[in-house]
Amino acid sequence: MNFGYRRARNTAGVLAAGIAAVFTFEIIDLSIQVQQYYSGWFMIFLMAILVVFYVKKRLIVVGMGSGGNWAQWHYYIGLFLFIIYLKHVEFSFPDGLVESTITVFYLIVMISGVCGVFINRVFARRLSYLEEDIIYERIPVHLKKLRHDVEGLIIDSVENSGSTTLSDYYLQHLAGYFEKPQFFFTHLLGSNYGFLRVKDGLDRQMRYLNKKEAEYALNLNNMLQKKNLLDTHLALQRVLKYWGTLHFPMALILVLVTFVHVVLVYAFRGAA
Amino acid sequence: MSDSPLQEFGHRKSRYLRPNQPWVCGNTGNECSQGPDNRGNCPCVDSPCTPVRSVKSRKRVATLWLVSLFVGILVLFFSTSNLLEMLSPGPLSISHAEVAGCQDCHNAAGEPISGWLHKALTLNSNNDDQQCLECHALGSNAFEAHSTNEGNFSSINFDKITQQQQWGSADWKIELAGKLNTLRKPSKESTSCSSCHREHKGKFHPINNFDAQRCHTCHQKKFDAIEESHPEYSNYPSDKPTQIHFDHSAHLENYFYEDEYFDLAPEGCKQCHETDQTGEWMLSNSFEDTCSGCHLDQILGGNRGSAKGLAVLTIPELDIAGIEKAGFSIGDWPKWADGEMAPIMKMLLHGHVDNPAHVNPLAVDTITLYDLTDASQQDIENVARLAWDIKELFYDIQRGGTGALLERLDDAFGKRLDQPTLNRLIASLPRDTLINNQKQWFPHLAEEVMNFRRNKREIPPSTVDKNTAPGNYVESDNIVAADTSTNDIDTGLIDIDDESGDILDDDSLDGGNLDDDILGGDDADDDILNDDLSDDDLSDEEDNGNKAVASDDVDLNAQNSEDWASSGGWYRDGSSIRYRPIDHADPFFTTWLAVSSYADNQLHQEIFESLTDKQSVGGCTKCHSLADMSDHSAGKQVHWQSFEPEDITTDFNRFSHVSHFSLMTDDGCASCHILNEGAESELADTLNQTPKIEQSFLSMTRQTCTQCHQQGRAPANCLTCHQYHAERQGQTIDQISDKFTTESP
Repeated sequence: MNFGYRRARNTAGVLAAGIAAVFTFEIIDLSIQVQQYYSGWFMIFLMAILVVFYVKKRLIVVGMGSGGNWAQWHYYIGLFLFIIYLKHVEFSFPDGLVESTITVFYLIVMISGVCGVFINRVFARRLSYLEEDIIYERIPVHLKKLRHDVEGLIIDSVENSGSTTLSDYYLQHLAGYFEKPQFFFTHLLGSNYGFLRVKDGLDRQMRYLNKKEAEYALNLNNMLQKKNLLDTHLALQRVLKYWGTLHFPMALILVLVTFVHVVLVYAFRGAA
Repeated sequence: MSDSPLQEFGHRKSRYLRPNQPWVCGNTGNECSQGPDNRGNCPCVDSPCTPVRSVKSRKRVATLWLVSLFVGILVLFFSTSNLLEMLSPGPLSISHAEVAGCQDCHNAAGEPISGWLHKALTLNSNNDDQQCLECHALGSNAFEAHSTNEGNFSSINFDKITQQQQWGSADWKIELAGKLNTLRKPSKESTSCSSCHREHKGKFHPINNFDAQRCHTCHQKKFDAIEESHPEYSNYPSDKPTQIHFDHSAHLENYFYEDEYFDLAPEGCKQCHETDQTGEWMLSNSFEDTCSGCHLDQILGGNRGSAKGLAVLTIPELDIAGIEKAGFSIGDWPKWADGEMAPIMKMLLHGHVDNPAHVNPLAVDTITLYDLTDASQQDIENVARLAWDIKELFYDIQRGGTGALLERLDDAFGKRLDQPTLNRLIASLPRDTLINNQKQWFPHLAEEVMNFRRNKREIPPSTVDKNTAPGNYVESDNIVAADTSTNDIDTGLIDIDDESGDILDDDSLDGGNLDDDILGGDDADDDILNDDLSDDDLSDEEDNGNKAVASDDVDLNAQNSEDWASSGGWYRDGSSIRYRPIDHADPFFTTWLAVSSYADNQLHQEIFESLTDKQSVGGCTKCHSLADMSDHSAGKQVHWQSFEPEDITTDFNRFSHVSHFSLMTDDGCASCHILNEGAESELADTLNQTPKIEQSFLSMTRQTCTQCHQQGRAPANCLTCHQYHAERQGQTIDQISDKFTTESP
């Protein structure tokens, strides 16, 4: 039973449960009751379960099941919650400032959550496919050291080869590349296009280099790859670390807005 | 790429960066071993770094900022002046366009924000729904099923309906919803307004948009389509007798053939019926527009064989000889008096019953007044006292005028009636009528009554020898008068020639215009209601000078008084003062029927029965049906008006006539309303009997409606013909507008 099958099976189950829930609320609505009260409280219950996941991650000492299982439940309950939400708003964007604000925050949380699932899955796998592991906080150190090494290499090439072809090319086309992280979004998309373009430029310069410069160019090529590795790590790890900065605060704000919404609903309700 | 990795792992090769701490060393690549403290201060004395936040700390700070920013925005939001407007979940529908402020519908809008939390936690379910009732008058059972008292369902024959064959089934969701309702066991008042009417959905959102399928969730017997399994109609549109008895069958088939009525025949239903303002109901036109051509004469008594006027004040026939023989004297009493006491006069006499000096007129009901042969002494005394009560009645009225009459009425009803009602009950009884009657009936009324009262209402003894045979009485003007020639002081009788007590001499009453001479005088011109001198016992030369112009050729007063009063009003007929209807809906008749309708008093009942009898003057109840009192008290009330939509307080159906006019065939209204040929109606003989009334039209059938109202054609859902709010609702816009705020909050 591979991952794809499990994912399809579980997603189908959530969709089926969601459809059943939608019909349930529709039946409640047909029985001359306001289904939004029921779907709303059900949503709050589901949101509480989702929040417990965050608490569980903080309370590691409390044995409440594996984090992986909790994450799975978090994903599928989130998906289920979205279906309930659609029924709650009757499949339309609500009017009203408070209601539309809730909707906006909910969509941010939901979309960021879906993206988070994708990020955790894809980016983590990509990181595991890279040549080596690098600690995120060390990346600036490595970049600085690599730039220093590259500059030393270029100076040596000028001194030993007697030609400035390579150094001229470095100064024109590669100095900026080594100065700071590059091609952030390209790496997020899983593409090496930026790096390959830079590398291709260096390869084309080989015909213009003398024999000694060519040796330095080969070393420079290795350093390009290291730079690309660092850029890839930076992009992937940064998103992995910081995507939660959007998801969690928005979820917190969503909880606050939901509380306001509940108070307003019951303060201005017609009847239970 | 070279084999040397960029990142070395191992505690000796790679220094721990303390990522769990909020601050990390700012010397990238050459971090110190201590690291900054929690406040972000570098401990290094030599070349201190600028500490930076760790990733974890940055995330925490970002979260804190975002949440704080939002909370700040929230506080500002709730501090705005037009908060309520901003909190609105959506625009109102056009139906509520006149609503100006939130507090018109929401109680919380008028409270501070601190109160909202408290209100949100209360369990008062129908909180704001009560505000709906400020404009939408749905009665006291607004939140019960169909907004009506469950007792109103008792008229529906559920057994008959549930036995209907071929019940269908609703959608499976409806079935489940119905089961859910059964499980939920909703309370009596669990249907709130917002269950069906959703506001704040936009200007053009139909607030009455209600899925008629929902009806089936409560109604246990379900059906798919009206044309297939809706119950057959039973006595629709109505199974109750109409308020105005009208035999359509007879009028359409048997009447209007005579020459005098031929031109009065209506050309069609619309000549008698027209729609109301809403086009929903068919109303009957007025009596003047529809019925008067044939029936007005009947009301006025045109061809009536018996008396055309209602007896109001009557002098009953008494066994004078028997009374005298028993030792009692009643003074003057018309020998030709006949008939019984009128119920109205009984009631006027009844007011003084509490005084033991008076007799209850009901007490003498069982006594045969004109033959006291077998009556006991006590009965005869009661009859004698009754005679004196009658005299006192006429004395008081004639002397005191309408004031005395009104006082009598107040005593009779035990309460003060309003002046317009009292005026209608009296109907401007002319003074001259009383005076002329008194002259005829009780010529010595004044002195007799005054003497009677001086003697503390003791019945004077008879002056006639008990053994004396009849015929020896002193007769004067055909009136059996007491022999007062003895001037018995003890009895306080005054000589008949003594004018001192004669009320006719009271200048304060008549300005000196009336005196004894009138009895034989010539001032007949003052009399506007002359008695018919051709009546048996009255016509003689000694009548009170009604012959203003003596002529041997023309008898000015040949016409009898009843015929003379053909236009209605008061007249004298023998020993009675009668009242003849002046028109349809005569105020005298309608008012007496109204005040006597409560059956809490036998006298009232007698009056009511005399007016509602099949042979009664005016014949009101020939057409106007009787019904139980609306306040459930004993008695009957008269339906004066034909059906009006306001009469219906609970209605589960709706139908617009005007919408269907274009569908009529050449048969007109008979396209749907089939005449019940041969329907018979018979009025009740007594008040407690139920009249036999058959409906003029057969019950409509479902097929009539489903010709058009079926799936795929005209609307066929429940709400097309049925309305949920069975109680009449709605207020005028003037009544509604006063409830709204003039300024938005």
